[in-house]
Amino acid sequence: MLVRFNDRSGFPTFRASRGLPVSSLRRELDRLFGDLERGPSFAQPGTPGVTFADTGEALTLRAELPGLSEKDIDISVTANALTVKAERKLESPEGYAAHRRERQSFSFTQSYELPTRVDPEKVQASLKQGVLTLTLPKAAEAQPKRVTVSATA
Amino acid sequence: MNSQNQEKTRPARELTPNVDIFENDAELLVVADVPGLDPNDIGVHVDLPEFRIEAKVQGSAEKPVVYTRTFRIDERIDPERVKAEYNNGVLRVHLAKSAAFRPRRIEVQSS
Repeated sequence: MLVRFNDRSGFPTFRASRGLPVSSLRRELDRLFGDLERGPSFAQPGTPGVTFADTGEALTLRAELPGLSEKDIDISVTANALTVKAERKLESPEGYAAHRRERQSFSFTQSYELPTRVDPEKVQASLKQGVLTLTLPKAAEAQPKRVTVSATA
Repeated sequence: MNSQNQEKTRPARELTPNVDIFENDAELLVVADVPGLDPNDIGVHVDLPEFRIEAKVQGSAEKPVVYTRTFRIDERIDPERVKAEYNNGVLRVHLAKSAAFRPRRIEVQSS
């Protein structure tokens, strides 16, 4: 069951390294767009849209990076922080005149302080048709624990 | 049809993909950022003078989302010769110009 990070649920929040508290941006965006699953970007227009979730057992990140392949992306993870770098350099096709240019080059570096500790050894990243999905399994002590209810006579 | 089993359809939320449009003597080239799609869900339609890209976004059964964009193109395009490829989340559509309208070099004979 995916749970969105927001203050109302009591989850601590990701914080972008530029000092923008993501929680207040998220509230603002929720108000404007009503649905963050198809995230508008937390960053400037023209840079990738990134969304986060917490599945209970793992933190996940999804970023739309059309045109990028694995070599254009650099990810590093520690137990409590994640850094994603991605670069897109657009080139004009040779021998063509351009009528319209809306797609943008970008160079994107974002560091996130993670709300729970994760196990860097178990992080998985996949890139499919321009969508980067990161799964960061929580460290053992941060996993939700099943609680058995015992009946008392 | 049993009214209890009727599917409730909602209007899909529409996203407008960013595009680049290029042209040379042979074709129009339209490049669109449409990440995360199944190629089978991408539709490219030429119905002159309109050209439309439409693609259903996966995983959105309850809240349908589509990428859609329509362009007006002139009749020099040959609808029979439209080619599209989808790689790394980028759709490239090649709209070949009708042969009659492609500039041809005429050789000047000297007599």
